[in-house]
Amino acid sequence: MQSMEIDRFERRCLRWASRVASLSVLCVVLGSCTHSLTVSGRIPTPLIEPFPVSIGFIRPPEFSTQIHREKLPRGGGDWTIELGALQNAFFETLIDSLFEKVWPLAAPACGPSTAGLATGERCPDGFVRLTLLEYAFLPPELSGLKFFSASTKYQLELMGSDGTVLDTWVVVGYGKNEGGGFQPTDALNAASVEAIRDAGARVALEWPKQRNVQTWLNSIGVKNDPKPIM
Amino acid sequence: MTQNRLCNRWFHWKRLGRGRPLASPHRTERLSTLRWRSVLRVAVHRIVVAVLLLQLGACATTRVEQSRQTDAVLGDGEAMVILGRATYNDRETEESFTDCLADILRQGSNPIRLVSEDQFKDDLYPWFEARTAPTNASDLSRLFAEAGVQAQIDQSSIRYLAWIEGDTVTVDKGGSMSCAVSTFGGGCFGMSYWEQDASYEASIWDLKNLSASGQISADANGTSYLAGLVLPIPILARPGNAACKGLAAQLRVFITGVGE
Repeated sequence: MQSMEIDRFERRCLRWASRVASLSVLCVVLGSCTHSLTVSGRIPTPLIEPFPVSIGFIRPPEFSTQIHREKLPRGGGDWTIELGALQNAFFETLIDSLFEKVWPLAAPACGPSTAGLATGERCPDGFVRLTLLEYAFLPPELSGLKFFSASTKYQLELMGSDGTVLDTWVVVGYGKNEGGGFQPTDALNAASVEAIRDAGARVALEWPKQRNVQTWLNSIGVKNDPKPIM
Repeated sequence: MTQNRLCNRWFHWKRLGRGRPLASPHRTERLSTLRWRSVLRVAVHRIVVAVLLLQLGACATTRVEQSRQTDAVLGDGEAMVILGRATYNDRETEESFTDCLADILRQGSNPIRLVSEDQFKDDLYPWFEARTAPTNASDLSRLFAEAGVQAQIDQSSIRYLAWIEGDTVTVDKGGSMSCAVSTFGGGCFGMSYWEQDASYEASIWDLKNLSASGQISADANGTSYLAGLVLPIPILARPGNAACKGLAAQLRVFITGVGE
């Protein structure tokens, strides 16, 4: 009688152990298929001479909260990538270094009621609207390469002081990082940061050399001497 | 030119089953355990012999060459920065290689003051990103004419910049190994090998004279083995590590004028 009770107890223990094991396996499998990442990294202050110009810097409201969601094919998993906070802080620092005076504005407007513009300040010399058009990434499993790669596509719109569009420039930044099998989010984070930095470097060095941007700078009396990039 | 043969002389070995009490006092079970023990002992002896034989092959041969254009060396308080050359193709200097170089050069009886790659790139952003970095020492004068660049380099007291280019590739592989797991246990049987070639070059630029100081190249190759004798036993040649050690030793002599 006593041995039967022990048998039953052992069987019950075994059943519970198998349930716990199955649940653990399920958790591991589910966990490996869902990836969540908040892109973070260092924000460098560009070592460039600012143009003696004041601009109104416009970003769409979602720029600072941008989240990229993607379900990758062939078991690549579900990805949620928050890159808004970093890109917002990064380009704020970049544009602040590129121009002498920067007003963060919601729209290309100037008047006593314009939000963001200090009272008594003269209107900006122009407006720059920055938009993220596209963010894309590729893990090693899909690319067949041994690294994660990421790209960011931004649109930079230059408007004169009256709000007319003078130039539209699209820039693509690219970044890659060797994918550690057990830290895919770390590798993707590094690749995404590199992609934002790359786009930023092009904005800082290539954008001022665009013909329409130079014409605008000349029109407001700024001498811009475009030097070749390394 | 120097040549060196670096072997991995260590391996961990864990003794199995020693001192474990028998599960049952019955004689038959004891006999069976003893038989298993003898089988295990023979297997262990064979594994040890195989490992020792394979140890002979798990070596990496390194060849280091140097060409020098100036005799200048690092002065007091001056620093160096090591940068991995980034490319947009599928081959690029591994971050682990530049980290390995930095770790070796920072240590020892003759340490070199190094500014980290991240710090350097941030301080000089956007001039040393993959797309914008100078590709030739002759571009330095143009770069130093940019506002703030010279001042930033002076502030960090960086005298030398070493660009590291190259990578480690698998040039050959073969053999086969299969592993199986069952309710009675599991194991791996077979043997596989892969030959790797590590080829790196350091281009050293003098940021004081805005010129190229010289180049050091390190090539290493070695064959690694994975032997499956119940347990999978890796015997690694690590040519990347051998190239790193060879390049670091030569770089130290180049930069400071004295070795370790």
